[in-house]
Amino acid sequence: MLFEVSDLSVEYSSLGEISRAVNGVSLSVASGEVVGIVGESGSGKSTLALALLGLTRRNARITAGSVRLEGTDLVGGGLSEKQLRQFRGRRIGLITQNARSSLNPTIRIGKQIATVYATHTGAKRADARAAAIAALRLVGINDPERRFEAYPHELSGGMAQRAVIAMATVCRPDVVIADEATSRLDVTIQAQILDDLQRAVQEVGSSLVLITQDLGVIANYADRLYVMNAGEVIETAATSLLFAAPGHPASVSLLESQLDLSELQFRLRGLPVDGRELPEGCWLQTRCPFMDEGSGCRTVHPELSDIGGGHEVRCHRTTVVVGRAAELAR
Amino acid sequence: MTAGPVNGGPEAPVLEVRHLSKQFAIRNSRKLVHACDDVSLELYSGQTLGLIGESGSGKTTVGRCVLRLIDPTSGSVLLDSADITGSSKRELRRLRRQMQIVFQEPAESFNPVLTVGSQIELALKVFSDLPPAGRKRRVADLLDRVGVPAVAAGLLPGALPAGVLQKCSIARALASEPRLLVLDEPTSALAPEAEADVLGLLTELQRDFGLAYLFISHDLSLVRSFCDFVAVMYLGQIVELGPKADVYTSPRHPYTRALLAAVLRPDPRQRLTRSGQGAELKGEIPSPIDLPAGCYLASRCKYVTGKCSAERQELIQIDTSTVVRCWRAGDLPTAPTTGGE
Repeated sequence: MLFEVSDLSVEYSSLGEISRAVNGVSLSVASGEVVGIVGESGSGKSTLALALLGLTRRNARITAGSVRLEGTDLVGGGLSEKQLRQFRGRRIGLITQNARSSLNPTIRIGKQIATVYATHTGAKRADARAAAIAALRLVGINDPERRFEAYPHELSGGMAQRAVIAMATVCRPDVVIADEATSRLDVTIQAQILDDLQRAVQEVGSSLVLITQDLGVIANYADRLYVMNAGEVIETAATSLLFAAPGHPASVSLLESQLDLSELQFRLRGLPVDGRELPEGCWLQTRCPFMDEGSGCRTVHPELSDIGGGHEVRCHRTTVVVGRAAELAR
Repeated sequence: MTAGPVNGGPEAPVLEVRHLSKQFAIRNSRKLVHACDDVSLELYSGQTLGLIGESGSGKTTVGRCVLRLIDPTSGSVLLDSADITGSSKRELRRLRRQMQIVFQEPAESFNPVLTVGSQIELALKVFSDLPPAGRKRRVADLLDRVGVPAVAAGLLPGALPAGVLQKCSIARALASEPRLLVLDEPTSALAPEAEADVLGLLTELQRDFGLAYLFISHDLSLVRSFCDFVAVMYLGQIVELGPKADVYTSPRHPYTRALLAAVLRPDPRQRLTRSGQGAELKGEIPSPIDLPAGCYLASRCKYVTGKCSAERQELIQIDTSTVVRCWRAGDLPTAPTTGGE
């Protein structure tokens, strides 16, 4: 497997309290694959996005697990910061939600992209410039020689996001991680940017990890997806399989909330579980319309189990859920 | 221009906007930003009008002009048939009991260092004659009405999740017992589930109090599920306005069609249909400073003809309740049924 995450956990500590944001996440990304990670906000997606690069916010730390790119562990492998920099930006690209905050406002965008390339590859100035222009062209920017000279503020939101994609792909990385890369853009631009991103990663031969809460993005671009809740993977399957028969109450609730329905019947109640006080049993027990004491929802934490065709679900009540939610997938 | 009252009665609209335009001056320049241009609409009690469009289309400017938070350059705003375009500051203070706004970011519409309860109470201090003890009780009632636990009153805004805090800002807007709420992207900062929660609350409040909502959003599926009428804005102009069902199932304006076609539906089967068709619109929105001479969409529209680029487009009445700003609206090919079920 090209990119493999095993049992990854991340904790935040604040005022002496520990909050478990990512809990034993395992996932894999094959070469050339587009994998989606989806979940409501607060489900640990963005913490996971950083951890995939071996990074955490200041008050967090990775407490367990591994993140392996072609076998090399970025987390527990004892790599130095210098060695890690050979991975971040070069072999793993990152695209974040807010394009403008990823760009230096005082430097022309072409130069920023060329610098990334030169830093990682040691290329000469002219070669780096050529690589940057090629990267800009690849993401659908017309007249890249002229845009090379633009400052970030001269670009529209869509163009700025394209420039960030060019920066993330210029080194032809193995994996590109896109964390809510289009969620702040207008609808007419969103699909264009995602099309450009998809084309760019295909062209440079990267795999793509799309992290989002928008199931429309997943449905249209991801080959396979992982659904997260309370920092753990609660369901995973090929995209067409999961949309046809969602098997976890949290997936069903998420899907229902994004369909144009007049009434919601599967909605999870209340707030996401507090990562400081994860209960015994299922972490969704207080919010779940399918909760059933007799099935062990209050006492036994469910494991991910295969319900067929590589479709894995972490729920004691999956059979009931699949049956009742079938109408959503019509 | 919108259809009549819900029950077809003789009631006057709560809000009427007539030929509203707003231009902003640019510092050190003689040029103007044309933020909204000849916008007319009507809104009746108990109705929701969705104002949709991309960023920079002028939706928010319309909302702010309606409340007189900014003054329109021309045109007029009528609240309960009374022209408030020229009302003084003092009169506006009284009028604002009738019309309130809920902003996009709940965290930014509260003062971070004052408790939520004290900020709702402040609205009561301004808009009601209640004594302090009565205000406290009313704060508790308002929070209860929006389904927020009473303990929230004593907390700072930062201690509450965004969805709960947005409900508190709705409670604050309700403090003056308004008839019109301008909802400016009230859920776009929220997670899908919190969003569903807030929308459910708004629906309930409208039913109970007959509120009129001007619902500003860039989210098409949201407007579809939530509004009665839809006005689509592009570069400051309304390009199509009509009952939701008509606009969504048989969009007439090329821009409306493009917007609907662009929505990524949570359905993997859409992939096949999407990859077959080219982009509905070319390029990005032109600058509102140097507006095109003819139709504002001409540079991006695939149905463009010479006449489109030469002549300014006016709104054309298509049927009793729908208007479209496109002279070709009648003879365009049948719209693809995207963004649909």
